[in-house]
Amino acid sequence: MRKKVILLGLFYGGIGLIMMVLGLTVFRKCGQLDIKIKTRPAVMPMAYKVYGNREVEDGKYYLSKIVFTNDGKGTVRDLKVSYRIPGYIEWTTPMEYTEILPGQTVVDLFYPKFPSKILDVLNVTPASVEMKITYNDGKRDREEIRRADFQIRGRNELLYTDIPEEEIVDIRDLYTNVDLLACFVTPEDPVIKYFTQQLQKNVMKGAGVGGSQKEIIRFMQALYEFELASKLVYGGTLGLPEKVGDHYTMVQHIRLPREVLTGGAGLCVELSLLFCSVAQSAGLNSGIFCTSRHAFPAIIANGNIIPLEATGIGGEGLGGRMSFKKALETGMKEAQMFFQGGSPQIGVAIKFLPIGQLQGQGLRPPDLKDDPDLKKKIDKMFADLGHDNMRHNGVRVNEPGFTGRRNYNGGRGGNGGNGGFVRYSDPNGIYGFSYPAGWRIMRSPNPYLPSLQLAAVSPSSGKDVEVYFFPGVSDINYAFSSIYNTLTQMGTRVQYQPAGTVTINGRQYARIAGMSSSNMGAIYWTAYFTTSSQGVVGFVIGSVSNSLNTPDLLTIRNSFRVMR
Amino acid sequence: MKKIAFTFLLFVFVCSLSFGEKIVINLDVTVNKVGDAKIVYTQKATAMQWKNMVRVYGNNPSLLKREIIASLPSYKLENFSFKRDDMNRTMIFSFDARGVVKYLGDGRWEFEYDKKYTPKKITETKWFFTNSETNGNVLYEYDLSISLPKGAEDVKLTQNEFSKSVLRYTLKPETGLSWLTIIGGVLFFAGIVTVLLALTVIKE
Repeated sequence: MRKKVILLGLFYGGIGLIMMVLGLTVFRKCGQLDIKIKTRPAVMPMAYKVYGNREVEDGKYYLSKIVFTNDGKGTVRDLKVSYRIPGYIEWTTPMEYTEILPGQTVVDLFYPKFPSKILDVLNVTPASVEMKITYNDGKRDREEIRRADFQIRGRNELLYTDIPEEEIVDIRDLYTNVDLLACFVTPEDPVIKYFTQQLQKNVMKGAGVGGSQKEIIRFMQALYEFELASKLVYGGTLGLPEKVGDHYTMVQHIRLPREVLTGGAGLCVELSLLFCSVAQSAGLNSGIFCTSRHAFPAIIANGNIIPLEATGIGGEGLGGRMSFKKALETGMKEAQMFFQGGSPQIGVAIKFLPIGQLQGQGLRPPDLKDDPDLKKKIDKMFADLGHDNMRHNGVRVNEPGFTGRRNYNGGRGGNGGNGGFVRYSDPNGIYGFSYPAGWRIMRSPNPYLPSLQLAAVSPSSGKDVEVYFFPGVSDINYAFSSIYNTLTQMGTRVQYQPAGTVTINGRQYARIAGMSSSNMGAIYWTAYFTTSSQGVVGFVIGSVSNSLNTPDLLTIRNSFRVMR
Repeated sequence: MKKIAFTFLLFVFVCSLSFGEKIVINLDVTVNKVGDAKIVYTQKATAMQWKNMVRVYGNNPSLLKREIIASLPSYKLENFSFKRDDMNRTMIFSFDARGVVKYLGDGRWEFEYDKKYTPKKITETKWFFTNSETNGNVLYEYDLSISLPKGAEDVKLTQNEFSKSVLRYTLKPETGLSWLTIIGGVLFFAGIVTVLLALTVIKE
């Protein structure tokens, strides 16, 4: 009996031991990692410092986000994650997670510290981020390497938004990356610093910019009038819509402040960036007003904002230039419109960017290399002007009104004096028209409408004319539809109907009448489209009042001429 | 955890008149045993605040979801819910945030909070964090109620190796042994006891 019981006990114990060993080895509970990876579709080189800083704007500028979830019944141990971007960043020190319990989730974000050589990328370049993931799932060690592709954009490119197309609600969603303009303000650029020093030495006679309003205005005037005297002009640049990843964004080519200064031309946003860069370099705090069709800079001091219309320097075919006083007044008016939400003249108010604050929060510009050739160019600019011209009474500019009399040579526009109208001629010779002196020209005012070449806007009467050009397109319906679709996507309600044809200066135009409404109000308009040897050309005369047959608008219409 | 309250500041700022008023942000955060949090934000508004809130988010609460997701990249967010009571001008917005509390191993958990907050212990597993700050003419008061999982013990406020303020607690994970091992263990023990009994009690 005893023997039988002992044998029974040994039998059960043996079975139990085997079961225990199997349970702890072969049938051990093991973890099972579910891995989800999300990668940013593109990075902008000028913002490379932002991508490496997890503190900027709640860490939203990560390159990759990996979500690990343990869906198994056992614990995952010793999870290690490291990253590599071939050509830029070698394998990073692994981020370690000792244990991931069953059901637990761990999120790992990668903020790449790109080297400054990323600034050498001038055109969109494919790149990839590799992720090495090692862990023990309870049974064995595992290693996985995952790879995701992304783009490194050209150094001068700004992608205006990263919101997917299906999430766009209104026009502001098209400008969600506008804060990154702070990365294009480069006060520490050796070329900008050198220019600022020369400006202060040659114009301000060695005086630094003090804190008083008077000193600040003096500095602003010195900079503005230098731009006038050195014939810096308001010119266009590239801006094209593009599908990046799963979203559709405007990609704008933005010249750096040093390039604008020494290249002699800049768009409104570029002139604003230059202004802010020099101001910050001089120790002032600055900001940029951004609207859907315009940008203009300001100095922030003593609780005040002092705006300036930087494009008042005008340019070829733009009919003249504003004096500093007029540019200041225009800036003030535009700022008032901005704080009221915008206006037909300046577009929808998007955001005011306090540059010092944004850069302090981590939206810092890159470190640019010194360039002795550019410094020599700056020396030449000052030498050509001569010191006398840089005293504030030495530069003669047009007074308000754009009478068309200019103090510089060149350009094919601006011959005015026809009852207060100024002639504008397209630099490519495709079209020309007359517009009232005193109206302001905005080149490529809407980055999301690259076909919109320019707008001439009345500063006070709520009237404007917009000129569109579709190179290589011969179908007017297609051209109009693309404008309609873009405006609708931007939150504007457009109603229209065809209104026959009309002959203007020997050319037949298809006429369309309509109304566009948004939270800025309603604009009544008549559009005229025609085909030319270069493509479809069109102009749209608009007014906030339903009266489009006023003398000035009729003069604009009747003066429009397509040359070829 | 410190970012969660700030995220709602943006929402409230949109809805406020921004002149001479006090806005109270109430957040209930319930943490489970694997470090995930259920976050419930309740906002009762004045008439004017309600009007602004409805104008911005009322017909499209997915915009609020979009903003929350963008401002909390460190977590995995899911199960969003938005309830609106127009009669009482109350809005309840909730979501799950996974990966909120960090597991240090050996049953130790911690989450970081902003040292501006004043913590107050209600019970071992229920804590209250408050903070006030002004922005312009508006006074913002943050009231965060945090419920730790049942069984959490050794709860303490301390600093981690980077001198960041953290709340730590201990919660041993459930055993990872399989049924096969447990039954095997029982059988083995029973076998040992049987043999011992046979040797000591049972006579030949």
